[in-house]
Amino acid sequence: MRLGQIRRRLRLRATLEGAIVGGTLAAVALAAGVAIARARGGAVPAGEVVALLVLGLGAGAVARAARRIPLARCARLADAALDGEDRLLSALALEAAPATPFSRALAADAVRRAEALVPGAAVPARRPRGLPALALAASMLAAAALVPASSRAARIAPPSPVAARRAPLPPGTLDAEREAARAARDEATRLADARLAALAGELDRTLRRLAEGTLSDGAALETLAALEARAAEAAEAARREAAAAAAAARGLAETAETRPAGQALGEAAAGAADEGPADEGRARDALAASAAAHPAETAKGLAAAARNMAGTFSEAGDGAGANAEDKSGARRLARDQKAENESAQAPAGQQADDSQRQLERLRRDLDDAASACRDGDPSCASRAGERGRDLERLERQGAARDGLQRIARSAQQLRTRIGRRELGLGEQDAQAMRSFGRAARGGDQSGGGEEQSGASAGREGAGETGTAAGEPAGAGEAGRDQGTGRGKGAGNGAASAALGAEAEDAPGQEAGTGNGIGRQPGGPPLGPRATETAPAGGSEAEVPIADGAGPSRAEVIGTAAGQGFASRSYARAYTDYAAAVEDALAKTAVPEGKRYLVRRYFDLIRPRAPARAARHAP
Amino acid sequence: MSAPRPTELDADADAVVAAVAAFRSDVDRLLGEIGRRLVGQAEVAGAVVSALLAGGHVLLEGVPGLGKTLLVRTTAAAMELSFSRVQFTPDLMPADVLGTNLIVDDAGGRRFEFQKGPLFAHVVLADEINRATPKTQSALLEAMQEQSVTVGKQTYALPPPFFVLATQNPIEMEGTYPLPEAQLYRFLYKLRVEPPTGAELHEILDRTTGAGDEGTRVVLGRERLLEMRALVRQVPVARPIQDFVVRLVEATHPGRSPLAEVARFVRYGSSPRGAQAVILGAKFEALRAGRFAPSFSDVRRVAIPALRHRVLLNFDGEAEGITADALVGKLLTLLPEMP
Repeated sequence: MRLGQIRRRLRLRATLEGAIVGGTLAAVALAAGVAIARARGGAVPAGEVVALLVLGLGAGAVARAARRIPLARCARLADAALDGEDRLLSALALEAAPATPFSRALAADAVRRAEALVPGAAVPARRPRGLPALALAASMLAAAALVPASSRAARIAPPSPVAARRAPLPPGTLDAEREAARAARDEATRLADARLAALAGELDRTLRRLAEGTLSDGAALETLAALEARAAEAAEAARREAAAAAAAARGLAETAETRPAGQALGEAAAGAADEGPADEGRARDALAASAAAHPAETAKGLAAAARNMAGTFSEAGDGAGANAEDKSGARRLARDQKAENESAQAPAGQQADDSQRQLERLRRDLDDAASACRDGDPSCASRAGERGRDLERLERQGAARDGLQRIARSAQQLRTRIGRRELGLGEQDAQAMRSFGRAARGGDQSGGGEEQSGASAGREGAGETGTAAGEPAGAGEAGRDQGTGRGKGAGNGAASAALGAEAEDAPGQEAGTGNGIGRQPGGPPLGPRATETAPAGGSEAEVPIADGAGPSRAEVIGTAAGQGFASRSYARAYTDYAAAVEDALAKTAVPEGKRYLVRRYFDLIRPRAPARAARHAP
Repeated sequence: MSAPRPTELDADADAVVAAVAAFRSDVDRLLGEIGRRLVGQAEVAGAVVSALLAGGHVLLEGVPGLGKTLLVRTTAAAMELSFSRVQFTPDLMPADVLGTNLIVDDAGGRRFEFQKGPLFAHVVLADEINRATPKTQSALLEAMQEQSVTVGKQTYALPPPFFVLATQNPIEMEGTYPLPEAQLYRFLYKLRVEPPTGAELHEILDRTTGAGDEGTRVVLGRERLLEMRALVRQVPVARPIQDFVVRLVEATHPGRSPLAEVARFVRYGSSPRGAQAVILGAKFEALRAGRFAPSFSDVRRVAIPALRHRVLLNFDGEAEGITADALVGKLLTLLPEMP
């Protein structure tokens, strides 16, 4: 009867309100998630957000709709709509009890009254509860999705995966790296070295994805850094294996009976570097034959081989320590990258450990074979033959070190090119980037052979004075060639003349042709500032600088980027930003794919001491 | 529901419908007669009739002169019931209330004969019951509960209906003996008689200072009263309603109440008699409204008079001026009718 209709209306209302509650919760959670994702520099696709929101709505609706609605509740609502005297509830509750005249009368009364009831009066249509909360949550979600992020991390956040896709590279851009990968692959085939083949294949795949534009710069840097680290690690392991094989060969050669085997190993090593493992099995056969004929002497040779191998372990350790001090800057950066990327580091470390364990095991096997031969064990010949085979394999593995190093170098070079954003740039842009790179490294900014002196002159002129002709500092490089700084500012007037006069006072100087960039059209402040950086010769004068004189901060930085970071004005500007720079370096909010770039960039733009530039001058 | 339609009612159900209608009519007539004699106090009069028909007794609390005696006398007269009034004083003895054995000389010689006390009436007004000693107060215990009196070795049944209406003055506490809990719990309701309003006072003056007094008309007979009592007992109570009463009574106990004030200020909560009183009162209210079962609102209507004297406050409650009425009222607000 009416109670069923009331229950249906209640369920409908509950479904609607459940959807609102579910939607509200989903919207709040999504708002938080989107805000966090945006703060971290990520992005959440709008489609997924909408899908999750709809999922929340649906889940809430289903959860509430599935709830049981007791008839007693419906009866209460009906009673409230009638007269509030609980006639229907009482009749419903007494329905299960034994019938009495009273209960029958009660039921009849309830039925009669319920017939007059309109279900809509018991469950009136109303605005679902929770709508304001849903509106608020939706506003939060919209705000999280639309309001621009203000954090530093968000400002430098990497583009979305879709945006990270780049245009395919022009043909030929990666030819050099492809050639290296091909050579490594060929070498792996020739040496039958799975380790080298795997790394060559990985480099090849990375190149292909880069060329297709399916790999972002950040991801490419991470992949290449990991590849470089693994290749370098493998090359180091191969070097140790080659050294161990050579030492074992020398040990075998110490005994006349095993000398043929030692020689066979040595020849195989020499041949492997050229055309591959020729005469495979010679060492094995020689050792087996020697053990069969002269077990005692063979035992001596094997023991010497094991002893010599053990000697290389400690040398390898020392060498590794020495090598560590000779790492290049790029190598250090790769290590930094490794430290940040555990997934890249773990296989490399494991690779080195595996190699070391293999060497240790082979040394023990050599000792065991020597013992067997010394004791007259019948297995002496077979064991000696197996050790010969092991040594040949070790030698082959060591021969792959060149190929491994080639892969590491290719990966490192490619990372450098990506870091300089040379891939996919036009020639003009690439030239500009190279120019910046030279400036960052403190390289020349002037033409001609005397780059450093000219650069020095140009920088000082540009940074401080803005004079026209004859930058005294450049000229002041006692007898150097003419500076050819690239500054374009054209000083003029009396100040320029004075500068020229001061320049001429410098012993042995010639009229410099370097030009500076400056905003001051001349005047006293300009010249003396330039002359004070002259490393030798030129006269010095202290002239007070008027407030506001000199180039703007942007011009100082721009000039430094083009002409070098050794100027004092740039050093002052950099100092002002140092705190922010250090803060940026310390912040882990920098996206992983960009850390390398950020750190490298700040390394490159650190101010150089003026004297350093002078030292670099030839 | 598969209940029969009104037209399909069987004879018994039809009889119930008629009985309920008659009950309602009779109660209205009774209250109308009381109201004709007693100005105002309609709520108190209704509760007194409710207790009378539910088979309980009433404790009236109010200052003298508010018409308590008139109420009881009118009620008894309107139903043609015998009425006696006992003024309780400190020197009142149990025998003064119950009756005593006297030596009687007659043709057969001397013998003891029980002389019935004022308790042997249908309606007994125990005026200022708290002025009597506990010994005399306790003389009422058996009468109120068992509807009988035992003197010596002889038990005498009291004539049904037996209805005690006791009064006590809440102001004059000097020389009084507060009723023990055992005595208190035997009252179905404890009612507070409030002073009349200005308009009611005018009406009182008009009626009582004039010449005529029409007297009380009989509207119900004793037999009809007993039928009505029986009808009240037949009213069924739905389990959700009864569950609400049970939770309400449980909530008056310090250890089981969701109300913090109960735990803090109540020494003892209501006994099961409280639940019985609420249910009986609710049944009467349902019949009085012409319904066949009590509702939550009936329970709410009778809960305070039925429970206020069964919730005993502790020292903190007394010191803080907390009243049982306030606590029960809060519980009625706090407890959901259906959990």
